[in-house]
Amino acid sequence: MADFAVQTNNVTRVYQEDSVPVYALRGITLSIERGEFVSVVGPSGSGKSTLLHVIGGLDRPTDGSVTIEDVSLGSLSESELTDVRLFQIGFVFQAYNLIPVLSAVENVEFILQLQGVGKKERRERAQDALRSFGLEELFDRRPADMSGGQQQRVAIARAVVSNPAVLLADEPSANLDSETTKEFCEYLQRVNDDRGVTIVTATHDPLVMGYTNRRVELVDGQIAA
Amino acid sequence: MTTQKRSAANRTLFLQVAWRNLWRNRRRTLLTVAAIAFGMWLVQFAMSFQSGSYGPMIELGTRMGTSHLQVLRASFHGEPRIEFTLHNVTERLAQLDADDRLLQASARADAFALVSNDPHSSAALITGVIPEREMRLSDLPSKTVAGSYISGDNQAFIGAALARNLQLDVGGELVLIGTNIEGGIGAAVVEVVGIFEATAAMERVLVQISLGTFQEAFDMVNQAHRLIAEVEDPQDLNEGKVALQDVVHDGEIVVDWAELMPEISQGIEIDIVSNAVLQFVLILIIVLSIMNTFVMTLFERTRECGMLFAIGMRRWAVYRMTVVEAVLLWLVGTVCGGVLTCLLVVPLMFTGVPIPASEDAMQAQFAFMPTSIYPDLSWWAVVIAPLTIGIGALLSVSVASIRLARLNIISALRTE
Repeated sequence: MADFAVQTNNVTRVYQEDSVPVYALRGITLSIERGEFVSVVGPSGSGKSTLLHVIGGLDRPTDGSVTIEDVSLGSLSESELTDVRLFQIGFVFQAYNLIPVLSAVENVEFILQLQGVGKKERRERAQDALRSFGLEELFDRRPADMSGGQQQRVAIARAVVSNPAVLLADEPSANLDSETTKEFCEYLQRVNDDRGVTIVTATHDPLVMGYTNRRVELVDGQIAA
Repeated sequence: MTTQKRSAANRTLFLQVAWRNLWRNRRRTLLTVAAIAFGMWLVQFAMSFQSGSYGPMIELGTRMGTSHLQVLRASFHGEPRIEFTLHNVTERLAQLDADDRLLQASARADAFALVSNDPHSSAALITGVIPEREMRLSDLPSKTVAGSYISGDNQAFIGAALARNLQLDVGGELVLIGTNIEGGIGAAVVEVVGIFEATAAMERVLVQISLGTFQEAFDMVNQAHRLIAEVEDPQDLNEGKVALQDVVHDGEIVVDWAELMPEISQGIEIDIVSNAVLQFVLILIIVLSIMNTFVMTLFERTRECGMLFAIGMRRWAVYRMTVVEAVLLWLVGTVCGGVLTCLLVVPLMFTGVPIPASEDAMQAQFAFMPTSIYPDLSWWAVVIAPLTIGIGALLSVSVASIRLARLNIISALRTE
């Protein structure tokens, strides 16, 4: 078994804009070991989010290959890719993206329910996850009644409750103030330390970078030397 | 995790999320529910009102004229000449009387004749009837405005307009002169015992005398032109037709009220078609409103759909969740529509809806219009509207969900 949670090999992603090819990623080769906490940094338009999307199976590379936990994503069908996202990857989005009609605990349970986990077990696991992020007071509160920081913590709880191999966080601190960002990063660090989850976060926030083990800097879709 | 276990868990999930999603935009949902409920009620009311009006219309038409079924000579059906008669009427009536498939039966004979009360005369349709049977089979005796209905031979029951034209009153003498079955003169002198008011045409030309008097006047011993019969349900004539076939001789046919009064049966058919078109348009409008709701809903939830796909929900599952939402919307609308129907249609089934115009002016023109209509809420009327709206709702959601299949996850996640 390889030691890498994520491997990209010469990944290129080209978009067509008005029939003009735009290179979002140019031959990215990257290996991320299990348990690493990696930040992908770089200026806007450098390809950070695109790299996360390709790693997370939300987008397919134009060229090259992506492997998550020894599974090559390129060979998977759409439904197999969906299963990889469901069972292997956790996502934390910039805009939190919680389901507004569900309470905090139901939002966290949602993933487990998609996985087919039984009612009692998923409720316990969801509550445990929320407790571990200091959200025990907010079990029954809906997103509209929570602050941005609280919503982002619920989003991490949702992302990690199913014990994914990889957690991908795309600009997770973009809507948070520095104090909340710091608190949020400490939670990420705990996920990484306590659960051994590999974390890859795209960010341009130095505060977030400070918590990571390694920085991968992108410039114009390429890894900077 | 097995697919079966995942499906079971997902069903609960879909139901829970779909129900709450339904109330995210409360006003829009309530408006759509109101459209479904109102549309359903309107279709059910229209159908039951329609259906409730046909029965009395047929009943009035048949009891004023043709009855439900008739046996006659095929040639008489096309050309009502006096010589096209049925024979052995007494024996055949006795056979029909013994048949349980028929409520009652009688015989009639028709001839055109000159009727006069010197010095006045007029053309008339003379109908020979069996009075005691006619009292049960026909509503005409109940339209008596002067005197009484005929009870024996040499008596006449005539229309009010004819009585005026001939300056006749009850007790007056009426002379009938026509052509008998052999082509000779057929004549009778009868006493007017009753005068009736019905449709203008009937009042002007109809003279009823006993069948015995008719047979004697027109040389038609034990003959008539029609054997008539009444059945339990005039809209289900099959059994009655079979019963009448037992007394049919060569060259004779069994015809029903719809063939004898095409103005009623065609009127009903036109009414059914025109109402079906209106109801279809109404349901189409409701379905379009449901489609609009779901197009807007899915448009507003683009980013959410992107997130659901991203975290591992299949497109098919998101579609199914939307379908569940549509089904719930339809269910709420249907329940509300059902309540409206219970409150606003069911009571009318017992109290009836009065049709004031039919009592006077309309009655003169359209004798077959009832004075009150009792809506008849059939199972078909109860089921067809919600079923059609439900199918329409599912189609609407499917059309609205086409964009789900094409939705690019990343673009969806970037939607504001």
